[in-house]
Amino acid sequence: MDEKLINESADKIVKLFKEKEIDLSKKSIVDDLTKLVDEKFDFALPMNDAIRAVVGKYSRQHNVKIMISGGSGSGDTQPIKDLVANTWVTVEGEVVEINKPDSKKIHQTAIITDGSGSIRVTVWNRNPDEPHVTDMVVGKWYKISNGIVNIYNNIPAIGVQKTSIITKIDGKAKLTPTVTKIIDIKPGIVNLQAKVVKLFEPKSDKVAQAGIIGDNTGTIRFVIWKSTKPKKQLKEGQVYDIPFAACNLFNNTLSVNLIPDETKDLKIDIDVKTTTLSTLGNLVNVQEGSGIVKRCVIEGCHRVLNRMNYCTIHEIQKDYKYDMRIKGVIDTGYDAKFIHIPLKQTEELIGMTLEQAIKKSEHDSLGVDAIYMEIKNKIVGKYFIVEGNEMNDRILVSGIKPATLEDMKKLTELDFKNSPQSTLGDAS
Amino acid sequence: MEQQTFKREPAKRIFAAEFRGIKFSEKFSTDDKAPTFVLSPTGEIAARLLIVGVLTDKERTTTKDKANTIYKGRINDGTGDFFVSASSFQPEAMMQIARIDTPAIVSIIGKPKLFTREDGNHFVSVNIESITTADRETRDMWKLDTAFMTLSRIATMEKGEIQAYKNIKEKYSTNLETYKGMVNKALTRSI
Repeated sequence: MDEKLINESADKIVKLFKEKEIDLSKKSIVDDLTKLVDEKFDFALPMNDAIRAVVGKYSRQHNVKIMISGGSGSGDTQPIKDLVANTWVTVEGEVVEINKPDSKKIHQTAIITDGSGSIRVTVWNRNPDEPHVTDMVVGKWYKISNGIVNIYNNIPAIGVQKTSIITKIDGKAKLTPTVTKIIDIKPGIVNLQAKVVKLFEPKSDKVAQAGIIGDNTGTIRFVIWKSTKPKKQLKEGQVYDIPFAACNLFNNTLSVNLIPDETKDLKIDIDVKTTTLSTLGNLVNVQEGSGIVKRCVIEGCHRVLNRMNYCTIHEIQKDYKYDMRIKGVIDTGYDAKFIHIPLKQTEELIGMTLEQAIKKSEHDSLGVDAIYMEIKNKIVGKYFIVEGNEMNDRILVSGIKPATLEDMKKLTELDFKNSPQSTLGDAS
Repeated sequence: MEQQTFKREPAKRIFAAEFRGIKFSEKFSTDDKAPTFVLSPTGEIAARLLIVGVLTDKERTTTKDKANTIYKGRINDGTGDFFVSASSFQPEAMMQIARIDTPAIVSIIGKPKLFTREDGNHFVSVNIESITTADRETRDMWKLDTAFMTLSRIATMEKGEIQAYKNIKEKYSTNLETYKGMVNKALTRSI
């Protein structure tokens, strides 16, 4: 646990008792708090509970009644972008979003923004005998005094505890959110202006849409959860104004959770910065789902249908559109990267157009599986030079061609020798 | 596969002469599903291999308990033989190997397995994930690729700066000259 937080909390307690004309030794309070909160000991209490316990202990000793309430912190307002985890903070800003979660423990969650940044606020429920907390409303300004910055799921949030105070501030103008560039994204709340570069086929029933968005500084993965009940569908190639999206860290990869109904279509185009790379490697795997697929024809969907022509969103489809692609792995021996080869490049690679492949599959008892097997036998285990844009550990292939022995000689700076009598001698 | 965030193990490149000398394997995690890695004498740590060579021999047989069909084969890469197998746990690999006539140049992606016999001797083989026919050019490219990887490992071992390599060198008391000779042999064409 942060020593700074313990120190600050101890100062608060000393101050509380000083008001009752009781002098306490700060050191003993620090010791008491450390014992309750430090991970080294068994208790590991939340700071707020530890403070209550310590205050309770000393008020019994000195036979006084002390209500823990706010107003005893340093009280200086800090910019949201400068907030540090596990510290007491006071912020001022406009509330841009309010949610009432199902949890009985939480009164409100909000997103507050002050021009420098935005952060989530969690207002914990209070008992009827405890000081009442101001309800926050979207579009109004508030000052949150003595909140504590916690990190939950890698995202910082201000916890509004029993000691915290929320006061409404009048007469402040509406803020225009500052746009964060994708390269600068950190876990937390961000405003973005970005283009949908690629939509994925969601593999989970809980996901409505997933894909990659980008701006002129980089790309990032996004997810739209079905639980947000989105009415709008994002389209590939469209630029959106994305206010207050939550960015989190999952498996060491950043991703943003979007709420599509809050996004605005922008009539501009963005040149998305991508990392183009060229890799010589062995195509060691062609994954299932490669080859001919049928896609849902519903506008903006394009999901791959299963054998029963079932779309995970739009159910059974009578109509469908054929597509052909390869999902594979290119392996350099150091690194294995997932690659996605779109229709045009797939046709060139296997020397067969989509129409030809469909015709061929119709004349084969294995159907589309015959094409999948043919692709596998043709390309797996062979060396290729792959060019494409790398996005989140995946290469979107723009060009792929068989590598030659000359390419390999250049890469390794090695060549065969013709002399059977080598000066280095023979290993066997 | 879009939600797939796990890291796929790359297929390492090792010549047969080095592979057959493998005596140690290690699991770096206590997770049941975590892969077992073999440690090669020049310091490669592999849970997957890429081999391109000549399938000189294949045999359809049954497992010891006679419950399952298994294909066994030998792949020569110019430095020695790899023993490979595809059992009914790899139906696709079995189907692929069944259709290949020997001799043929093949590309194999597979998982190395280390066995210790009752007499204490070690035996390594490769469980085939995929076997496809390849051509001479691919075989030559693999040789250069594998030579390059092996020479890099030898250079790292010689520098002696990386602890993992030091440990492996100690385990095997690797004589690096032997492996330089092996690479040289692999890159020498008999006329």
